[in-house]
Amino acid sequence: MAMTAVEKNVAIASMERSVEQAKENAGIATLAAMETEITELRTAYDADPATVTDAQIATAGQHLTALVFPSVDDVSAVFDEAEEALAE
Amino acid sequence: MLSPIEKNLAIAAMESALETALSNAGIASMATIERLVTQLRRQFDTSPDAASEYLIKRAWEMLLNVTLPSHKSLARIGRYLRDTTFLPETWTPSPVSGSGMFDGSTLFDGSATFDGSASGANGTFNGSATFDGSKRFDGQ
Repeated sequence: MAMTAVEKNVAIASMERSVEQAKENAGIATLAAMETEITELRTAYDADPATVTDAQIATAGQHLTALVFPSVDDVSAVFDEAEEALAE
Repeated sequence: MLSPIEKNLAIAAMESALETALSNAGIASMATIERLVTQLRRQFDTSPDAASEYLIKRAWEMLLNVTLPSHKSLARIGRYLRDTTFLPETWTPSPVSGSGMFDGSTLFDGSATFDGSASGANGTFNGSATFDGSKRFDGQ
């Protein structure tokens, strides 16, 4: 059965919320920033390991582990939250 | 303070985790998800019919599959890489013990017989030979 317009809206809104939440938790502006951060660390390390600080590595690790997307288990809760937000 | 090897391992663990997440989600970069969600919102706002149901489901699949590691599993990836890619940090070469080894303290004049044995990290040498000056040493 095809999705209704409301269902589509809830599905899209819940994805938007999930992405926003993940970025906020990770403290990054865009999802691409995560990749850029790791690529930059690799480039700097390959050029000269001494230029990469422990703090930079720790920060990238924190960003990566904080970038949490919904799992199958909590997908319905994400939908419910988006539905409530749209109803307000 | 992290050693260069530890830094390399930490970066490699993050690269590996990210690659796995992208591979599981079937996407080339994290930006793909963001772009797709933005595109779907734009399409829906233009006309709900324009937002493809297939793409909405596909985007959700990506989100559910792009699972990034916890601190614990990031450390586990690091340990795995260390053990499979690099020598363990606790590894130290075993001391070489032997007798009759040439230590550079005397000039070799071709008159002596080499007869020695030694064992160490790279195996055990146990043999004897007489150098008669008839062959060039070729490193073999």
